[in-house]
Formats: sequence, structure tokens, C-alpha cells
Amino acid sequence: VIPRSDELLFRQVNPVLVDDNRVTSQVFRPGGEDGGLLSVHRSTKTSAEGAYRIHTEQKGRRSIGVLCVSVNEAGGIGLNAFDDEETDPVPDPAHALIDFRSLERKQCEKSAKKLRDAAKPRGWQYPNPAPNVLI
Amino acid sequence: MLTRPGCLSIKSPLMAPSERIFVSPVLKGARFETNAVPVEVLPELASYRDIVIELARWIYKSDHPGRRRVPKGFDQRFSLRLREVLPGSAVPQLLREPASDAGLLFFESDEFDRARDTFNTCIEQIRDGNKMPEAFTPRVVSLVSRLGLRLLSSESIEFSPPDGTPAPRFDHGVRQRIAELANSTYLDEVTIAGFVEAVDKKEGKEHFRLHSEEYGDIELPLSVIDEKAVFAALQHSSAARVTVPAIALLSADGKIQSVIETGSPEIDDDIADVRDRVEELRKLDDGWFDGRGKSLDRSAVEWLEQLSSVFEAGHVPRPYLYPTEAGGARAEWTTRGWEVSIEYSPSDKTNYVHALHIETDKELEEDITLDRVAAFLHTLTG
Repeated sequence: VIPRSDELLFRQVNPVLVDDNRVTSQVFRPGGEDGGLLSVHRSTKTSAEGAYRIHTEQKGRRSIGVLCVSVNEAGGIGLNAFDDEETDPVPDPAHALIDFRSLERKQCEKSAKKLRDAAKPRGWQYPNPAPNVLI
Repeated sequence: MLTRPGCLSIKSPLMAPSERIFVSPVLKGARFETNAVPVEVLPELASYRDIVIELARWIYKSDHPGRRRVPKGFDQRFSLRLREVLPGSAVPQLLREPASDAGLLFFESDEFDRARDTFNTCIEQIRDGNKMPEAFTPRVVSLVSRLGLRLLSSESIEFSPPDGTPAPRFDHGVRQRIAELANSTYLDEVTIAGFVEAVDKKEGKEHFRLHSEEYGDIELPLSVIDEKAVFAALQHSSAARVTVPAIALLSADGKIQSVIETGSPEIDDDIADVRDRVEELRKLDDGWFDGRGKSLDRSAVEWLEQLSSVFEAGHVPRPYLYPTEAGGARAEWTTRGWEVSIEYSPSDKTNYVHALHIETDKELEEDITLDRVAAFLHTLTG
């Protein structure tokens, strides 16, 4: 488990999950095939740009930009984060996961909304200039 | 027997074999809590009798379109007697006595029984905000206007039929609504919201036609509004919606007879945006979420279209729309500190609603149909 601190956890935003400049809180909860684990990158091991580039250029996935929450903010609502260094399809040593596995649906919804709210004040971490999208 | 000054309490356990209970008016309010009826309220029962007779006449004439009059002695077939007051607020029992020539037919349902039920149906329709019922002819309305005159604003009567069918409440609010409906026309401030359909030239004057969900097609003269804004709306897109504040002459059923004065129209871009978003989501291919993420199920598209209609009718704020990985759809709102989401799942056809107040952590969850979303949002925002 990543110890509580102000370390940031970067989260990529799929452009389909933005409607008219508004990001859905779904961005901050795991999908049906994620096994209750939300994929993020650690700021102590990479930058927001580095996380974006590995996600899009190396893994070939889509992102409109990078948002973030701190380890403390996730911990404050009962969510632990832990390292999950990946080697496949590409080496990704900064990869980490936020653990939603023990949560019921209602708690998942609440946590996602709380994380989205926590991400708002920091705004877009990458690219710069930021995408013309509210959070 | 007088139980306290001004209150008549009638207790008679015996009912003659030839009588039957016609109606049990349930009087509610502080004055009736002693299960007694103040004598000044008794004329209400006579007013009710007059209404039943008039409605029965209307029913008879409706059943016999060739006859202009009811048969001789028709009204005399209906005679009511007050026999006792039951507890439960105050519930006087009104018994119907047979006419001298009624015989066994008296125990069969007739126009007067139907009139009792018709009255309740009409009151229910008026309470639900509908237009004046057909059975409430001007003559009936004039009789109804006398009913409830002796009730205080906190009091009501429910005319319960003997079969126990729940009866609607008759109170000052209903009286007021009937009075409003009875006025043939009235001036009121209205907001006409609708889609700009065309600009016509009629008798040398230009009008623009608005298709309004609430009022139907309305023509407004270009001369009384901001002409540039109207043309801008027409050029915007086929989905451009305009909201026009106005003072209009309305008929008793709430239809606009004529528009007296209008303010500047506001162009509502959100409608077009929401429609465009539904179209965008409808076209999503499988794999939209980094190789996974199903295209939207047809039922999810229909759900989005239905929600879009609810929004266009002005019942909910502008929804933000998203797909779900499972081929479903989701709408979100941020309103007055609440983060609200509703998610449609095509596999089990559920609509999961979750609301979180960010500051207080108050949470609500439900499974509701789209037609109840508006009420749910109103509950949150007061």
C-alpha cells in the first residue's frame, strides 16, 4: 500500500467520457472489466506528461488529458492505492491502482463523485495549455 | 341532541329497511374532531343534494339524446335523510329514501348513484389539474360554487360512496380552481417555449410560428419582438428552441387565445447540444473505450431519447450524457451541491439513481423510471 502523503495519482480521461466540457465521475471508478481496480500513475515515479505519453503513445490508448487526486484524498474516503508496476505491453514502472474491490455499488458511486470533486481544484495536469474542458 | 353550543349530534342506530346509505360525507378539520357537526355546516349537505340532482339530470339527458327534458317527477325520486354521525372526524350518514312508486327498482343503481360517482370523478380530475369536466355544465358549476362556502380554509369534505371507493377531497383549493376554470378567459403571464418553425407573411405582416409543447402552435408577430434574435434562431439549427415571456389571454382550459405582449426571446442552445450528444453516442462503435466498451444497446439509445424529451419539455435541467462500458447510458447533473447520476443498464433494464451532497455526504439511491427523474431532482433541490 502506498503510504498516505500528498503524492499525486494521475488519471487519464477518455474523450468519450466528456460531454460538452463536463467530465463524468465514471472516470474515477473502475469499469466492469477492471476487477474493482482503478488505474493511475504515481507522481513520485513519473510526470503527468510521462503518464499521458505512455498511455497514448506506447499503449495506444485514448486520453484527452490528465487529472489527479492525492493519496491522502483517496485514503480520506477509505481507498488504498498500491504499486502495480507493469511490463506488458510496455514497461510502466509508475503504474499503480486504487482499490475499490470491497465496495458496494453505492460506495463506488460515492467514491467516484468524491474523487472527481477532489480533482476539480487542481485542474488539468497535462497537456498544457489545458483542454477546453471543465472537470 | 346538542353536545356543545352550535353542534348537532345525531345518533340513530336504526335504519328503516327501505332505506340505503347513499353517501357518507367525511368532514375534516378542527371543528369536526369531536365527531359532531356544527349546525352552520349542515347547509353544505343540501348544496350537495342539489348538485347530485343536477348531475343526474345531465346523465339522463346524455343517455337519452332525443329527449330535451327529464321525465315528470324525476327529481322527486331522490330524497336524502341525515340519520347519524359516525366518528372519524365527523361522518354524517346520508340515507336515501325510496320514492313512493319505486318498488324493488329502488335498490338498483340509477342516475343519482351515477351522479354521486360522477361528482367524485370530476373533482378528482380538477384536483389533478385537468380542464373543466364535461359534466360540470354552467348550471352544475353554479351549484358547485355554493358547496364549501361554510368550510374554513383548513377544512374539507370527502363524499365517500357506500362501496368504500376513496373519495377526492373537496376544499377551498378545489373551489378556487373551479372558479378559475369557469371564467371564460383570463390574462396571465406565460412562458412560451417551443421550436421556431417558420416565418410567414400574412396580410402584409410577418409572423413567426413557434411549436410549443404546452400551448401548441403559436404565431407571434415579428413587430412585437426582437426581430434579429428570431432570425438568428432560425439560422441556428432545425433544433433551435426559443423561450418567449408573454402576457396572454387564456381560455378556461388554459389555451392561449391571443398574445397581448411579448418580451425578448431567449435562444436555448442546450436542446441542440443534447440532441447532438445523443446522436454522437448512438454512433459509438464497439471498443470505444481502448478496445473494450460496447456500442450502445438500442434500448439505451431509446432511453437517451426519452430523457432528451423530458429535458426538452422543461421537466429536468440539462443532462450530461455518457455511455457505459456495458452498452448502457448514463446522465449526470450537478445541482445545488448535489452530484446526481442515473444509469441505465440494458441487461436488466434498471435505472440506478445515485445522489451525493458533496458538502454534507448525504446520499440517496433508488431505482426509478425516467418519468420520475424530474420529481427526484425536485426533491433534492426543493
